[in-house]
Amino acid sequence: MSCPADFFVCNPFQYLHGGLLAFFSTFLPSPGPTIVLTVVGVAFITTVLAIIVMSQVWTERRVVAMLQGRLGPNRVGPQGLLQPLADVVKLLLKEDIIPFGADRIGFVLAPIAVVAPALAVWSIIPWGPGLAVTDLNVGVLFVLALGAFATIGIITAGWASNNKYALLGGMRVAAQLISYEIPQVIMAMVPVLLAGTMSLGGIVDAQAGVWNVLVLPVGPIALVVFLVASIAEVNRAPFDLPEAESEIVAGFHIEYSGMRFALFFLAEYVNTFTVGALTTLLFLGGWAGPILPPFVWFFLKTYGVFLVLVWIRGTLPRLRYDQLMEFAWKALLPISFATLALTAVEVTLLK
Amino acid sequence: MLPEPAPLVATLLGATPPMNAELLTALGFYALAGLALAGALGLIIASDVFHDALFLVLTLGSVAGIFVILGADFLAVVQVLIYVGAIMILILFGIMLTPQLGNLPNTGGPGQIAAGVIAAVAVLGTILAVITTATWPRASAAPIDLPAGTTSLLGTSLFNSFALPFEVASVLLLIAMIGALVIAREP
Repeated sequence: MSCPADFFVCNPFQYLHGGLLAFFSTFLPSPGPTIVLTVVGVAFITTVLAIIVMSQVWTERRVVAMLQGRLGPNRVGPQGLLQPLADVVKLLLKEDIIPFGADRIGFVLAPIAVVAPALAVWSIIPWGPGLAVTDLNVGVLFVLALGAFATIGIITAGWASNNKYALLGGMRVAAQLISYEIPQVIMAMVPVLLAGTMSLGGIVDAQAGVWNVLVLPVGPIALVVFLVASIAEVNRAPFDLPEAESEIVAGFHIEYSGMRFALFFLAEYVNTFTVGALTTLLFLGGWAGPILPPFVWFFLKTYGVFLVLVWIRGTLPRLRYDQLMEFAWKALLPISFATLALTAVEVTLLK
Repeated sequence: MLPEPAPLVATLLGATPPMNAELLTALGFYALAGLALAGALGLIIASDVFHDALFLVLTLGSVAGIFVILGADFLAVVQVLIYVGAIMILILFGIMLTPQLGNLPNTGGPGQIAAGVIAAVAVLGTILAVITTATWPRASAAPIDLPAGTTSLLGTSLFNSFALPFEVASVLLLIAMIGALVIAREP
C-alpha cells in the first residue's frame, strides 16, 4: 500500500508550496510570487544538500572505518556526529592562498564552475511525484550535460594552479571523464528506451509496474555498467586517479585551501549523491514504495546507493592508469553498445 | 482543499502573462547573444591559448542558451554535451600537452598576414551579402505553439526523411576517424 499523494504527511512540500504561493499572491503582482518561490526553492534545496553532504561525510568515514577494522571519528559529539561541523568551521577559518604564478582568474573561477553545475542538477531531480523545481522533457541528458561544465572547471583548476601535480591531475580528469562518459550516457539511454521519454518524472512513472533493474536481461547489466561509469565520472575510489595521493599528492586541488577547497569537496559529495539519485530514478523505481511517503522512499534508496558506493570505496584498491583506460574502452564500451542494441530489440518485440 | 499537483515551483515563463513572457524572451536573447559575442571577441583577443579555449566555452554555452529560448531543448542539451563536454575537453587536453604553445609568436610572415586579411575580408563579405540579400521569414504576431518536446520529432525526421544524409554523415565521421588513426600511428 502506498502513501496517498493528497495526504499531508505524504507530500508536505506541495502544501508548503500552495500555502506560500497563496500568501505571496496577496501582496505581489503576477510574476512576483513565482520568482520569490523560485528563490525560496533554490535556497531550500541548497540547504538540504549541504546538510546531506555533512551526513555523507560522517557516514563515509564511519563506514569505511568499520570496513577496515578502525573506529573512525567518534570524539566530537555523540558517535562523532558533530565532526563534519568541526571540519566546516576549520575550513572556513583556514587561510585562503593563491599560489605565486597562478592564473588568478582561472584559479578563482574554477571552484565555482565545479560547484554550480553540481547544485543546478538538483533543480530537475524530482523527490516525489511532481516534486521538482521543473521537470524538463530532456531531463536525463540535461543532468549528464551539466557535468561537462564541472569537468571544464576541474581542468581549469589543474591548469591555473601553476603546479605540475595539479596539471597531471587535471589531465587525468580530462582523459578519464571523456572515456567513462560514453558508457554512462549509453546506459542512461536504456531506461529512456524502456520508458519512451527523457523526463525523469516520466521514467519513474513508466516503472510503476516493474522496476527497470528487474527488466531481464538488460536491466541489471545497465544498472551495473551505469553505476561503475558514474563512480569514474565523480572521481571516487577505485577510480580516484585524478587525486591519487601516493602518485600526484592531491591532484587538481593540491594548491587549494580554505573555502575554495571546501567547494571542490562539496561538489564531489553532491555529485556522489546525484549518482545515487539518478540510479534510483532510472533503475530502482524512483520514489515508489509501500506505506512511507514518496520523498522518504526516494532519499532511502538514494542513501542506499550511496552506501554501496562507500562499500566499494572501502573494499577495492585504486586502478592503475592503463587498467583504467583498458577497462573503459575494451570492457564497458562493448558491453554498453550490446546492451543498448538488446534493449532496442526488446522494446520493439514487446510493442 | 488540495493544491494542484504542480511542480514545487512552476517554471518562470509558464506562470507569467504573455506580455512579460515576450519581454523576458527578448531580454534573455540579447543577454545570451551579448555573451556569445563577448566570448568570440575574447577568443580572438586573448593571447593565452588556454583562455581562448575558455572563451570558446562561453560562446558555445551561450548559443546553447539561445537554442533553449528558441524552443529547441534537445539541440541545446546536445550542444552542451558534445561541444562543451567532449570537443572542448579534448581541445583543453591538447593545450595542456603543449605547454610551450603560449610562448610562440602569434604572427606569421607578411605573406601569411596578407592571406589572412584576404580570407577574413572574403568571409565577412560573403556573410554581409547573404544577410542583406536573403529574405528573412517573419514570425507572425500571434504566439507560436511550440511543441512540448522536440526530441521525438527530431528523431523521426532524422531516421525517416533524412536517413540517407544521416548515414552519409556517419560514414564521413568514420573516414575521418580512420584517417586520424593512420596519421597518428607510429611509422
